[in-house]
Amino acid sequence: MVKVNGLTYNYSSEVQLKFPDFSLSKGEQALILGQSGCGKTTLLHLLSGLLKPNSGVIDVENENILNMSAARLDKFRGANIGIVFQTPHFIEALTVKENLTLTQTLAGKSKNVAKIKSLLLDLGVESKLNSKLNTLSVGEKQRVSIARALVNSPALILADEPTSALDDENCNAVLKLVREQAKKHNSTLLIVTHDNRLKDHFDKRIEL
Amino acid sequence: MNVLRLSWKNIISKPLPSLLSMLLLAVGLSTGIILKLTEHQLTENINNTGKDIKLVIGAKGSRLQLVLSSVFQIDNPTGNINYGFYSLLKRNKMIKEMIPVSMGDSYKRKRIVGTNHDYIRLFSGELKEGVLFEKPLEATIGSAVASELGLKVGADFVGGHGMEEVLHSHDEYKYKVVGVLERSGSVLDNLILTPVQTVWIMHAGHGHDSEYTLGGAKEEIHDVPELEEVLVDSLSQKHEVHNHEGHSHEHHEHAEVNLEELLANIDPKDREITAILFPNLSGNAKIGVLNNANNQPNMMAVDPAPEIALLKNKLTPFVSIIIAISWFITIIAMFSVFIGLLSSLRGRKYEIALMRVLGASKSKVLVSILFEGVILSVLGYLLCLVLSHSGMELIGNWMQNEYQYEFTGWIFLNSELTYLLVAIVIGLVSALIPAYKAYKTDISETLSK
Repeated sequence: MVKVNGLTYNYSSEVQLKFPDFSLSKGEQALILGQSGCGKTTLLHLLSGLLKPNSGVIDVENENILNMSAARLDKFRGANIGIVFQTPHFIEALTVKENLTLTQTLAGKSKNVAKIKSLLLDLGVESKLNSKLNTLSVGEKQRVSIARALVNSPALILADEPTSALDDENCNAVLKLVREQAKKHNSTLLIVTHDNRLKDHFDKRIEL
Repeated sequence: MNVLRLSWKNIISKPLPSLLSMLLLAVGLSTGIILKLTEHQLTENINNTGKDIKLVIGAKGSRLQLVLSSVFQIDNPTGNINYGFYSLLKRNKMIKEMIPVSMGDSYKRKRIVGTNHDYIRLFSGELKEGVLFEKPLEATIGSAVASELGLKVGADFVGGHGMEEVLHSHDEYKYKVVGVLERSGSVLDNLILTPVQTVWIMHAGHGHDSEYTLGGAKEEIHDVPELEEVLVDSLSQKHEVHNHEGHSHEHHEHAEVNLEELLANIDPKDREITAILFPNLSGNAKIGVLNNANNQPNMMAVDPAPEIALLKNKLTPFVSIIIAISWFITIIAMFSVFIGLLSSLRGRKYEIALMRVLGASKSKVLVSILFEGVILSVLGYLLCLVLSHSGMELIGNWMQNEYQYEFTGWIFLNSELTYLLVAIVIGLVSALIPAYKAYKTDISETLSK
């Protein structure tokens, strides 16, 4: 489902990042651990096609994303990869519902409000459907960002430090939600973090 | 949620900067549209009013003033000429038509013009109700006079001396409204029309020029028998007609006898008119009349067309300045839209990156920003239509009061659509750089910050 081989990325002629090979099967959940500056976020951006590596192969859903045209890659990313960011960002002019329907339409999928409602219900923020983002708490925003990552039922969910800014209680709650939803949608989950609290929750760990 | 809707949402999420950009654009474009509307209506009014008048004779003075006052009814007359000259010209078989106009009085800022029925025909005036004036002190009024002053057939009023401000009232004689004209969109709408004899009665006792020559031979005017006959006939006939209409016989007889006596006693030297209009005069007849009038000591003949062209030329620099100001405001508006979009995008850098992550192509992001510029400019254009047309209506009301011409904001010119194109181009140009910046956004770098 996700396969990485011989991946390198050069920030400059002196700084070259070399990433370990790994593969994840459909529905598998894994953790990528590493200290700050070791290239965790770079790897996540490479996996989602936001950066081009200097060498290597990245297969997602049996397709080498590095061979895709820019337009095809944009569509592919929208439809097959959901990303949860450390700090949830949204299009502030839109409501929760509009942010999620935009995610659907940008991925080339049809608007599905029933699915949005169901996701928000699962995440405990169903009452925020028509709320503006600036009226939500940080915790609520994080839940909505998880909903956004899942709304297109992606094959791969990438989470970038989703818990590093949270206390233990919220850390566990968010982790539980992400894992449960990924499992429910049969999506492969890859969490990139330096948060050692997550270490024991995953059988598969990749150290950078 | 499509891109257009997203652009719209982004605009309304920042109402104040968006409104400011729209308003600036609207003001800039409005100035241009108001100019267009004014120019169009002015040209139409000038053409409609002046097209059939080939020559004007009046008292010596400013040529343009004579044309403006006697043809367009928007300036003070240059003075008066003796009616005798008109009578002399009437003997000329080459002149098919000429119309006397006599001015100087008004009623509530509406000009009273002494003339004959040909003047009404000249502007294709038609009766809405009542009859055309026949006797002195009878008045047929324009549609705007009737509606604005609330005058109806049968109403009477006292005129006063002066065009803008009444210097003194002619309290001794009352005008009687005998007819109301249909709206014609010409000078007629704002005029009170009466026989020239009314003006003589009102101003009895003010004598002026008396010596005129026709074809070079000097002729002193002491009396005009033709005129007296026509006048007396007219008075007698109308007297009968009014009896049939059931008006007070006693009252009319008394008034008319007095007027007859008064008219008969007016010295021919005091029978004056302001100007003579010549419709359909051309060739030798025109040259003859022109030379003849210009040879008179206190008289001049003017061809209105070159004077109007001269006036337009004089106005051109002012119009150019206003156009330049309107473009200046429009360009400032363009910068306002540009700065507004640019600063809005700086705050939305992460949102742009987010859109790309969610699957939006670079071109989709570019189009969404261009849409924002276009939406702002189209809204600015719509606001400009409201501002310019209601502004024109306000200016029109003022101009109508000042110049007796009808100007309205409730017309739409095809050329206004050009301004829509201008607005769209402004929107696109001002959004181009912000859109390109969004297009070139480095998603990874933005998300890493």
